[in-house]
Amino acid sequence: MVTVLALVVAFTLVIFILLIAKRALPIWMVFAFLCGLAWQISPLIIVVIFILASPVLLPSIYARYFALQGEVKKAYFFSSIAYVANYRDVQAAALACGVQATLANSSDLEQTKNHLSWLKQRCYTHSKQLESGEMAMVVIIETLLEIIADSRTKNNIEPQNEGKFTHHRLALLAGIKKDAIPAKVSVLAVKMALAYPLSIGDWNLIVKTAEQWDTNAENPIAKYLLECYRYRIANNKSTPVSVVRRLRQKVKAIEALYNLPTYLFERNTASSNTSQENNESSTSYQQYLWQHELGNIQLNRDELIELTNKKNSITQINRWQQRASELGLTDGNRISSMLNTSIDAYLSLHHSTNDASSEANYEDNELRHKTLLFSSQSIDNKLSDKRSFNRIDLFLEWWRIWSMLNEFEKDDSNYCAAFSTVADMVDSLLIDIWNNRSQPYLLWLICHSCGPVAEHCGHEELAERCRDLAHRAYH
Amino acid sequence: MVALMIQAYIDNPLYSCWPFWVLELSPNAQVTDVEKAAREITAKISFGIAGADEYATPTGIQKRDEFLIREAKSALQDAKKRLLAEFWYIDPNTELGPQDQESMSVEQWQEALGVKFW
Repeated sequence: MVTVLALVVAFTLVIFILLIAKRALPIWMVFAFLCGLAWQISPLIIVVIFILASPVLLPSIYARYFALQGEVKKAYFFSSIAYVANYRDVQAAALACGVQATLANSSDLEQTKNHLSWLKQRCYTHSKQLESGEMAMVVIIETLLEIIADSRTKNNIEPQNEGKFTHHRLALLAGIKKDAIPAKVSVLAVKMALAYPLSIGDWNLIVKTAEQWDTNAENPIAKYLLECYRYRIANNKSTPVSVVRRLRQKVKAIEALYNLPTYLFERNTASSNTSQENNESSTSYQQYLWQHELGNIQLNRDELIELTNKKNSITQINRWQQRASELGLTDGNRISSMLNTSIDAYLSLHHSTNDASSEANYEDNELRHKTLLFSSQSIDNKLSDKRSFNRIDLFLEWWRIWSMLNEFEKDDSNYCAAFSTVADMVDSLLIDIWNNRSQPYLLWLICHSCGPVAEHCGHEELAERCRDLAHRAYH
Repeated sequence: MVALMIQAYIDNPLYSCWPFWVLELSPNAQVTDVEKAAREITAKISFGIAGADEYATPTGIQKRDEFLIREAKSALQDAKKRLLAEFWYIDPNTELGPQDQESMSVEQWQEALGVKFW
């Protein structure tokens, strides 16, 4: 009896110490303890003790259960002590669990807002280094809060716009460092980001989203989509339906892909099939152009150019020149020029629509410029006053600027003009973070997001600083 | 009569193959086939045969008359216009709708993926 008591006390003490130190309880220690007890007393008691201690031994299972039930605080708590399951970033995984619980119980707008605000507060109370997973979760929580705030003012939630907004917000995290993102976070992020591109059937966007969230941690949804697109469909080795059937058992959450329109897969088979440049392929491209014309699928300008280029490829041109000579047209260069002119006329019909909308956005761009300038000056003042930034506030300050900047059209000259407005602030922020804040993941994100833009817009010094700091942050 | 020439036939290169639709021919048609088709369709219209004044397009059934038939025949007898028509040709009866009629909205995808907000 004394031995048993000693064993129990010793084990409880070890668990207590490990919890304080936020370390995982080694499984070998658990089994050793249980075997020691079983040697002394009845195995039945061992089972009872195991069940009673299961919340501490298997917290990830409890976290998942409470997330499905919509119990936000319980899901967050149990996930925050699941050190084994969430070894990459416990805090981020706990936030992901909390958000999943919020979404499972989101019928009441006010309650959802309170839950999300509570989760956001957890970030402020947490003091360790800000890592990629936590940044992604902060963005997700902020996005959901913005949607709630927007729906309260307009009183008219449009799921299509909401899904698009979420997708674009998460796409702005393309520069994030992937190695520290837990699986829970990347899976949640990819699900939220995918709803919009899946609804419009844009496979380029679907693949881009999947690649962004195909992190070092296992992300079955991203991996499945990439596998579908790159290997099975492009090489025509198996039909889309059989691919989905096989993986359906593995990944329950993507069961909806079983209903994915098969013509989406066929489009990619045609566009990646460069070995069959014949009449049949040309007709396939024509069909996609007509499906776009009739509004059955959505193609952006780049995709239209790609399809028309395939119609007008070198092999096709030879074929048309031969046909032209059969019809009595002898000047080969003029034939090629005539076909190109026809294609350009077709593409210009779509480009003229874009011109009209960018004119209409002129006043919006003016307002965005002013807001951007004001926000940038505000951050500059805070930095020069040496005010202490909470790590989350620091990230959010930059995030708001980055989001506003990306409301400008990328190929618009306004985009570079807007970036010039904030370039000095970004430079000061980078130096401040490097010197004072010790936030390498945040540094990485800012460098990888702003660096390419700085290079594109001609800010060579800033681009060089971004490259240098990103390299030094991890070497 | 002029109103039966759809504006898109003039403005949008994608519709350049309209002469083939009007005369119900494919790009394999010879010069004699074009003349024969024009003659037959015109005769059917003048005799009032049901359905003779209609032709299929990817956007649905459209009306035709003698003017349009003459224009179509003229276009296919012009080498450059014929080449453009063949370049942009698509069979008007091609199935162009999505093969799976069950398209899903953003909301449905969010629900399927388990991330639906309220």
